[in-house]
Amino acid sequence: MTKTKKINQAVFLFFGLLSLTVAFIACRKNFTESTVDTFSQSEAKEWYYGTFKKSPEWQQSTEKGKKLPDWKNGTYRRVGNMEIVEFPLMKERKSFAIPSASKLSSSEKRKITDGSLSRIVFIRAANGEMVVREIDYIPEMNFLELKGYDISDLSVGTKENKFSGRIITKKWDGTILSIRKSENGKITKTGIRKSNSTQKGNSLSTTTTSNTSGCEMVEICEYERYCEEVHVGDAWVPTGECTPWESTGNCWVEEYCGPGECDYGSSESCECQLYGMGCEGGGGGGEDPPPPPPDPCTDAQPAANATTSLSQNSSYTGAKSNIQGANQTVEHSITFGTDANGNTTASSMTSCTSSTNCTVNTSWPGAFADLHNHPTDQPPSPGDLYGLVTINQNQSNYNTRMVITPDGSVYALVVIDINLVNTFVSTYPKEQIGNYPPDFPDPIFTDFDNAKIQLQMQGFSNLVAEQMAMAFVLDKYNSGIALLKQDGNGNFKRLRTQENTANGNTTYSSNNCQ
Amino acid sequence: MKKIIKFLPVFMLLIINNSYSQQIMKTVNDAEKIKSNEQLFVNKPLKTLLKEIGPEIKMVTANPSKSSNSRLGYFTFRFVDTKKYDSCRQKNKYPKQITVFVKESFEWDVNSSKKSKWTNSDLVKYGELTVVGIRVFGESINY
Repeated sequence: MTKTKKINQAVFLFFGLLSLTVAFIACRKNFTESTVDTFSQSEAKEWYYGTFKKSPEWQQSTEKGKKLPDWKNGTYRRVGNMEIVEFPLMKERKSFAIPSASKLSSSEKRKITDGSLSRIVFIRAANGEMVVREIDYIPEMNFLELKGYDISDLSVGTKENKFSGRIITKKWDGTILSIRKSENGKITKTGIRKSNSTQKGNSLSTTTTSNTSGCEMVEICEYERYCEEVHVGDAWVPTGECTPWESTGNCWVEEYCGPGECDYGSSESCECQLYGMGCEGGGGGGEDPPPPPPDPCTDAQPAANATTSLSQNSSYTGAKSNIQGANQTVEHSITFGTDANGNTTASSMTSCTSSTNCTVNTSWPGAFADLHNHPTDQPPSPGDLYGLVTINQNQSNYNTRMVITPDGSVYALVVIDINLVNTFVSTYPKEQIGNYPPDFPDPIFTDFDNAKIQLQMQGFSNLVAEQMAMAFVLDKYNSGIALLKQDGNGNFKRLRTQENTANGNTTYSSNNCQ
Repeated sequence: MKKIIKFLPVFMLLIINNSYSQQIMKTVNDAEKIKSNEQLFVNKPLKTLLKEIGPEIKMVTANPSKSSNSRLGYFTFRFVDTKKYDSCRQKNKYPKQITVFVKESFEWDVNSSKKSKWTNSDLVKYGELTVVGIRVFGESINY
């Protein structure tokens, strides 16, 4: 009996100590943990369909219906009282911005774009508020090699996280909140976009440079692909049919400065800061201040330089002369391209005798711009703008449409920011009557009309009133397209128009780039 | 009874006549009906459409394009005067407007770009232009 009692005491002691050990270990790791929590994942899904899809944030995004979380492959982590659920994000159009792309071989660029991840993160703050963020993880080549070109098991905020690359945090509508550089799982630098989009060929002479403050300037270029997916209920099943990764032609410069911030998983306030949630009392947390608005003149300068350079080329002067020498009662068009040796070429001239046969030669090898005349005193029209955008969306290097008017004025519509252009045309698609040229939708149509009429009443000619009205609406509606005009010295400059209201009267004045 | 039978055709004629003479757009709020009946006016003279607009046109603007290959010419008819229109725009409101696109080029006096009225002489001058499309835009405000 005594022996049995002793055995019972030993068993009790053993299990008691085991329980204490388990409790101790569990208590040590409960600040940051990474595990699969199906309840929170299903809760996030329920919230996505029940609340988020009805919200203005989802409804007003041009990307709505074009991306969907992969609900089966979520991860869950908890930091303090904050819960974070992350799912892979399936998108019809995938785009990643790759640093120093011109230094990389085609194969390396493809491996990085293939290996990059888009994810959607649902963050439930301590007060129950839900926030949605889209995160791009763009790995560095050496990290990708280390991981066997597959980083799909990446989980930030865990000890296993050794990610090296860029982490871009965006709102659901694609607005970038922050750019960070991570090395071996630690945030080492924060990035700021220093210049707006430039077209290929107008970028930094070197892809990475350091400035005097020790910050790193990096050239970034965007690549995209479209993938076909079958929609089955609340899931998208990839068909494997994807277009190859292609450059969008959109490049810019980002400045990376240290030191880095706190790391994922370190504290609640840090998570607030990293996800740009605007938490109160978050130890310096809160939504990153928006970058200063880009200067419209600086933005358009590379495009203006490229157009000036084209206008000095013999292919251009010959083309212009041919167009001006032809019957001036109808429109004539010539397309410019680049041959294998990098020389500018000009297509033969096409002429249009009615609105139905006004075609532009878009298949000219290396096509990047075109020139046509207007028989009347009209600068580039809304039809010219939507026509250029349609071409540009299929041929990203084709970004310029030049127009010559009867008085010899030469204008150019130039795509300066493809992302803005895409947003613009999806928000304000063209309006078309029969086979007549497309026009702006309301209210741009009305704003253009009002500005033109007011400018005419201020004494400007029809041509100048139209050019100023066009410049005004392109700016006002953040179109991503600049209207340039050649000055007396042969240089193309961006036209800008400002609206002034005083004493109940609205007037317009030039604010052109110099 | 005989009297009723005698006058019935007259009453019927009056009713039919009245129903046909009613305009499509009786109030500014009916402007959308002009758009929904667009096919009644396409390829017809502008004057045909104008007959269907009941409310007083208090402001007219025009864009007399010289080449429909570049951009169509059009008239925009509004039902507030220029003063009211300008005051609405400063509040970022767009009063109701009907824009009528026409096939032919036409002349328009730039000095009176914001005309206050659509006159009979305008009807004579522009009434035969061919309508190719209509757009209705803006909100109903206190007319």
